[in-house]
Amino acid sequence: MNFADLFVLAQRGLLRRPVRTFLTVLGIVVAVASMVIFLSLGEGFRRALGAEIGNVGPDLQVTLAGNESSSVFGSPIPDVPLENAARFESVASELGIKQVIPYILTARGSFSGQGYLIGGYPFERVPLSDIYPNLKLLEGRLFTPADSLGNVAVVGAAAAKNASLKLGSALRLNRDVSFKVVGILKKGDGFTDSFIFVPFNALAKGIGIANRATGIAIKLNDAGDARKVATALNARFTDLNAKTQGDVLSILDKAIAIGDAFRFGISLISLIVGGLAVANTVMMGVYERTREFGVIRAIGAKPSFVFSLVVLESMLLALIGGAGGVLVGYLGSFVVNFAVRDLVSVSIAAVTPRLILLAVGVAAVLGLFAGLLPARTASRLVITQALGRN
Amino acid sequence: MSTILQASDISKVYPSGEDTVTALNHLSLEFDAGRITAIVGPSGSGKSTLLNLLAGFDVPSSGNVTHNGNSITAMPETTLASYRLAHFGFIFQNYNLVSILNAQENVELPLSLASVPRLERTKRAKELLARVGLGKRITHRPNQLSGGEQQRVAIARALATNPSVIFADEPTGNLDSATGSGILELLTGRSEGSEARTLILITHDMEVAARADKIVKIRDGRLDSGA
Ligand SMILES: Nc1ncnc2c1ncn2[C@@H]1O[C@H](COP(=O)(O)OP(=O)(O)OP(=O)(O)O)[C@@H](O)[C@H]1O
Ligand SMILES: [Mg+2]
Repeated sequence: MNFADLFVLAQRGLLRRPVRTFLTVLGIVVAVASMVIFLSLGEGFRRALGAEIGNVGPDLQVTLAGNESSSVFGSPIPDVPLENAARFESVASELGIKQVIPYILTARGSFSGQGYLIGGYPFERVPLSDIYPNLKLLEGRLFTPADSLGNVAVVGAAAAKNASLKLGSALRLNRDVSFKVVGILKKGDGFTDSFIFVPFNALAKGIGIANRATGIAIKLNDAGDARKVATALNARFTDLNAKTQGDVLSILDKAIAIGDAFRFGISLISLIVGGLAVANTVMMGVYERTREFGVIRAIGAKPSFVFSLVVLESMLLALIGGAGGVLVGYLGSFVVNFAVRDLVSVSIAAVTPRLILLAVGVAAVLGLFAGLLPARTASRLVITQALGRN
Repeated sequence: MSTILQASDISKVYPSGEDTVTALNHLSLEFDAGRITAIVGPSGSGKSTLLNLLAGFDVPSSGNVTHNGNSITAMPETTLASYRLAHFGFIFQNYNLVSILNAQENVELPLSLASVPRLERTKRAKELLARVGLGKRITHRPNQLSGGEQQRVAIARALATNPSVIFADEPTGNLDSATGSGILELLTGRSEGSEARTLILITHDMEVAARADKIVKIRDGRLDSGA
């Protein structure tokens, strides 16, 4: 029998009890949709990070050694002595270092509310466009060398919205210090949308920090040397830890992967329940049709034919549910993004092709395993006994 | 007259709790090609057991069944399934049509199992259904057909692959006698005379048995040579 005929038989078998089939498919839809939505969160972060760090930003980032776990950008409290900048400058020509850029990053607000990041960079000597080439000015102005100690800020689109800042308005850092907004950036699609840029020295003074930075960014003459230079720096300055963009990305990726594993673990429970529902439905179908399977076998179908037929029924159930689940999950990711649109500047839920592939794959495997036991039962039935049953 | 099917010294013993039931007891039989054989005997005498062994649905506890010299007893199940498909046709007492398939699809089933191309098998199924008088009912499912009509579909299905032997276990058992004899007419197909088909059927109906070329009487799992 060719596959098209087998397919028709399997489909008829499922349509024999349309309501039961529908309910089982619905179970799989829910299980797969929840998996898709859960995992779409990681995919969204991954995509945003890929766009952000993969294309722009410094070639190397240096933080204190042994501090990697706190944050990839550095510790929450600036702890990298500024003297290190001079140490890097001293080997600049030898290692092909173009610019040494200390920075301070400090988070304001919370993720449940209007969050943004304040980034202090030495804009008096390094223009913003050197650090983040993708950022474009919407209105106002960027920094000038005269701004070294000036309490002025250039604000990302999402940060402006979250902190309700307009051109000319004041951003309060604390009781005594506030910054005046002199420029607003165009909306991009990365995390820098949530950044508020201020001069390094002004920020250090404002938060009462001297000679410390969150980290030191390094631009190289040739970005292709990043790995080599990082190794050389780490060998030379053992108290520091230089990371390439790739390192940063892989650390973030690892963090996301752990989250993914956790979320997949949760959705696995619903997937297993869904799989059992499929197995149950297919098994009931086999029991109800024992006589008919007996007839088909008597006429001359091989046991392997009956086995394939039952597995196909099971996989059909699971795959239809899987397709429905991807669709519902896709719609669900929009709902998630809509719900959190004011909290974060990026679409945190993304249904990527590989996620769709994964979901369909999981559904197929689910259907296969759920079908094995019923298929075994059906293919091993004794013809004379099956025929004798009413 | 050549022998098409042969049972040599076959026994069938079923376990029954601590005990055993001997359904067939060292029985030997030959069936001639192109002939109709009726198997008769009291209830529980072993008629169905015999037919199941001859048709290759089950294996004897001892002895051997051969079809055209091929031992079907020795065949592994996969080979045997293909052999049944190629050489045997079956009709059951309670029709045993596949409920999810309509009349035409039921008749096509053995053909599609044998990978006969769609056009060819559709043509054959329609032709056979027309022959059993159901040309206008081809899209009806079994639950939309009467018992007699279902049995006629079953006959068309048994004839589909043009098998050399047709086995029937009380094919007219659930039908009134008028319908029953109509069924038999179709089964023997003698009026057309084209195909010399071997038919082995079990029946309680003496009128049906009387039309057979040969009557085999079974009692307590043995040939009943008396009477
Ligand atoms: N699977 C089985 N397990 C145990 N005993 C069985 C089994 N099948 C048949 N028997 C026994 O074997 C004997 C023969 O049964 P069989 O069905 O062949 O009789 P039969 O001649 O077809 O009867 P009937 O005319 O009532 O259909 C009976 O005693 C029956 O109880
Ligand atoms: Mg019987």
